[in-house]
Amino acid sequence: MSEKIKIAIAQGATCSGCDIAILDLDVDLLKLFEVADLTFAPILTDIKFKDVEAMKDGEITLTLYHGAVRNTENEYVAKLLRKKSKILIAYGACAAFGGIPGLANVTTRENIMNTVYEDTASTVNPEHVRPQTKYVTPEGHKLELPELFEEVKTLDDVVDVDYIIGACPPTREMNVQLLQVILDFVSGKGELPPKGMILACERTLCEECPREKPEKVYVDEIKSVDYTELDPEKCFLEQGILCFGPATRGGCDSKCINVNMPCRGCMGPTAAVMDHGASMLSAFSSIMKISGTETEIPEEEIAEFMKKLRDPLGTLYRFTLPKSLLKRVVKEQK
Amino acid sequence: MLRLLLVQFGLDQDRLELAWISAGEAEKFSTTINGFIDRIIELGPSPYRLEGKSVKEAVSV
Repeated sequence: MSEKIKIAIAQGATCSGCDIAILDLDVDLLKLFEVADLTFAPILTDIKFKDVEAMKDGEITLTLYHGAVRNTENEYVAKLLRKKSKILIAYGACAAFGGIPGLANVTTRENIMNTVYEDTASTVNPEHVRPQTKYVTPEGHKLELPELFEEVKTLDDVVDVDYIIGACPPTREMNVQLLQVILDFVSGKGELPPKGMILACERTLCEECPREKPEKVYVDEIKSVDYTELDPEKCFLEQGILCFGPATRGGCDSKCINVNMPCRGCMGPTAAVMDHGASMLSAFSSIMKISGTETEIPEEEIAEFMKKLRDPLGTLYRFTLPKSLLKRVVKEQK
Repeated sequence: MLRLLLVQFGLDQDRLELAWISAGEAEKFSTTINGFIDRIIELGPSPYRLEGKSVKEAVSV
């Protein structure tokens, strides 16, 4: 029996949902461990950074890196695993596009520190104490904490990435596909896909959405999921709900749609699109039903109508802010 | 909606303008454009152009 390949699961700024998603392969994991040895995987194994440092370059065949790059440790792990791995996959929306942690780009490091260490209601910190990233104890021990970057980056902002798997987290079906590619590659039955490929459909979610697509869609009033009763049969756009389907890749089996929730765009933009949020903005505003001819629409009416979309930035760039054209907010909020 | 979004990004709302001008309205075209240019010059460089400065400096504009 040929030697097992080495695989690793590395963490950046993550919620670990991706670790759980991998574990959700449950019985199929046995197939994986027949051909692969799990080396570095902080949530599952006790292997330390120094053990990975001691490995040869390229000794690990495949690493799945999930989480965004938000501090020096995230970047260190990314660079270390890139060095020691033949194949590095940006696994999950955070590593691929920035994900939810990417929304921290609406603020600054200083604002974050102020909020966490002073402004929250239950914090009492009259001396403005802040954590130190380097400290030498009286006994001479050197203690270190990672340094927070000024902005959130994606994995491919810091290292060369071979493949991308979006979604938050990747679905079981996507993981099963990934597993099959690994098994085929190891047994020599299949080749690796071309570098840079993303595990998703080239087309948008609307293609695979089970709901009936109406001939024409007009939004009379922008509605929000938290105060609207959602019809489980109608297209969400028809109901005035901003569903990211038209701007987002399919390949996730419409899982959210099937439980009566609109798409939030975690599979990322299609290849033709530069900026995910702008693409959705364009699609959504093109179906607005506003009275009057184009030259006559009163500015106030448009403003009232648009106000119903609370937080355009957060809604349109929920998973992709670090990959947007503007990348971050420049003026301080409040 | 784009205006609301750009304001959230930190840009002054006067940096975006939409005008409907036909090819025959030459005077309206030049007044609109010149007015816009004056407004933009007053507002100064976009905060996104302040590269080379640290983000902190850019943010404190």
